[in-house]
Amino acid sequence: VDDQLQGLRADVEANVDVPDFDHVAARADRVRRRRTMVASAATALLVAIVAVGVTRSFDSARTIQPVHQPVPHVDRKAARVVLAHPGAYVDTDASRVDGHGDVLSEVRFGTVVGAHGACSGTTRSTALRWLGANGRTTAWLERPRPLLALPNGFVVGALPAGCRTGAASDGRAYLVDSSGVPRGITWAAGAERICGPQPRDPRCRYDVATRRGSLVTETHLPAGAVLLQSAAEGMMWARSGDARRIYWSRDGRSWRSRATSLPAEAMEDASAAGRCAALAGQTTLEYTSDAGHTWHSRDVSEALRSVRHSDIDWTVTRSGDLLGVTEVVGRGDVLFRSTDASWSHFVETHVHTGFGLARPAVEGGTVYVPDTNGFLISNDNGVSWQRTPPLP
Amino acid sequence: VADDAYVRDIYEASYRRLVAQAYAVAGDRVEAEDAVQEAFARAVAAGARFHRVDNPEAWLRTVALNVIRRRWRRTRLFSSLSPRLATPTDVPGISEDHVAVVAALRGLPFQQRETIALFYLADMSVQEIAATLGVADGTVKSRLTRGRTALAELLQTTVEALGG
Repeated sequence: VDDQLQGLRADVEANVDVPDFDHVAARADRVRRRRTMVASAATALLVAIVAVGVTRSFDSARTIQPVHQPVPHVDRKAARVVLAHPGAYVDTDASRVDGHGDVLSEVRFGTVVGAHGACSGTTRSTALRWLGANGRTTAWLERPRPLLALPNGFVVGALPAGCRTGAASDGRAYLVDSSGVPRGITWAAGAERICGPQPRDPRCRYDVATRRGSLVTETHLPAGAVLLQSAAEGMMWARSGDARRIYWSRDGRSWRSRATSLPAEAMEDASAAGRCAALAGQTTLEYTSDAGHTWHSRDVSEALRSVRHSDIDWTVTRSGDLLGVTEVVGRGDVLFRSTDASWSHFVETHVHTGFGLARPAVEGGTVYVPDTNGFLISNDNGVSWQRTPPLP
Repeated sequence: VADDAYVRDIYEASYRRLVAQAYAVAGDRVEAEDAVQEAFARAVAAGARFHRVDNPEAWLRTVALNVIRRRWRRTRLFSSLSPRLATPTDVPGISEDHVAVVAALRGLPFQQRETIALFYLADMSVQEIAATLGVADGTVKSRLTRGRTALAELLQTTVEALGG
């Protein structure tokens, strides 16, 4: 490994062409105007490919048979072996937090799954660990599968087609209810083929209480839009690729939208949770707290005087509170939050992680950020934070 | 113009080296080059302040890593809602063995990948990495050990797959 990594450096350096410096100088002019680039070639590429992918998946044919799935068999004894392995760790990229603050963690040791869908080398080196907000925990052996957080539970998707061993359970998705119990899904006609392997498809709907999964085939995203909030929260939000327009819909069929009036140089991103959404510049935000019926503009630069900030990543919570992550020189990433509904005052939180702060994610009433081997979770809009317990 | 000339000299000397390091962290050639170019653009925009930086290449590396980390911060949230469909781009012309190394690096968690890249491709010590990332020395050592083990297994899997 050491030799290959050393060789990689020399090989890359020998094969990279140095672009004309004038391109950098031109880019510097834009940096001078705004300090931060809004778009990048890589992000644009990602957005375009996802948009094409979602559009293509909408055109897929449907199956017609409703399917009742059996209760999944779980192996808790083998899971304890995984959790107790000295090399075990939580893959926070694959793990999820639901709207109650329950966590479904993917725990693994040894061979890992590639970020772009490669299969695990073994079948007994990964487990799912459910951590209830009430402190209860349970775990079972499971190969890496796509996970989806719901307001009150999780969907564990089917194994990717190329990773199945032939067992029928490999191709079945299942639910994890609010008690951490795996449950079979009763699929509506045509839903399993789409939603089983890709539970995060925006057309898929789930009801944990009745253990049903269904497909709303008429659901679509506006062209080129990126989903911000799925239908599980009662309404869908999406943003345009350049984040200058935000879309919302209750049913995923008909969409309304609003384009920002902020100058291009000021635009950063869009954020949405529940009925609240914001088009965010660095210190100016356009927001709604009533599902897009009315919009307001607010300049928070005065309120941020007490916070030493650079570039800010904004997150709006379901209750309309505003969270920001910024980098403070010498102190790393800092998370601060609004203390009042009018965002007239902000205070720093004491949230710190082992590798810098990811922008907080919102699921229902839960706000969370990933940390090494777990999450920091807040159920009061960022006022207090709990770290998930370590592996046993 | 003088400021630009100063940055241009560093650009000619350091660009390839920084791209190699960023490529190992980002796992994507386009993203790596974009981050490094952004770092140089910010250096130009910083003007005389950049002259006062003791170690310009370290400053540029830190900015490029921050750009990648910030992008990760955003795409991470995005990828939790939408399936991963993007195909990463490699540096054209590098050997198949090294393409496999980068593919294996992509399989590591972000913080392990970042630590390994700084140690092996930027020749930084454990202490320097700990200071750069704001973590304890032990954390860096742990990430290096764990990342190296996982990387070896991933590379073994790749070799076996290529061998049929």
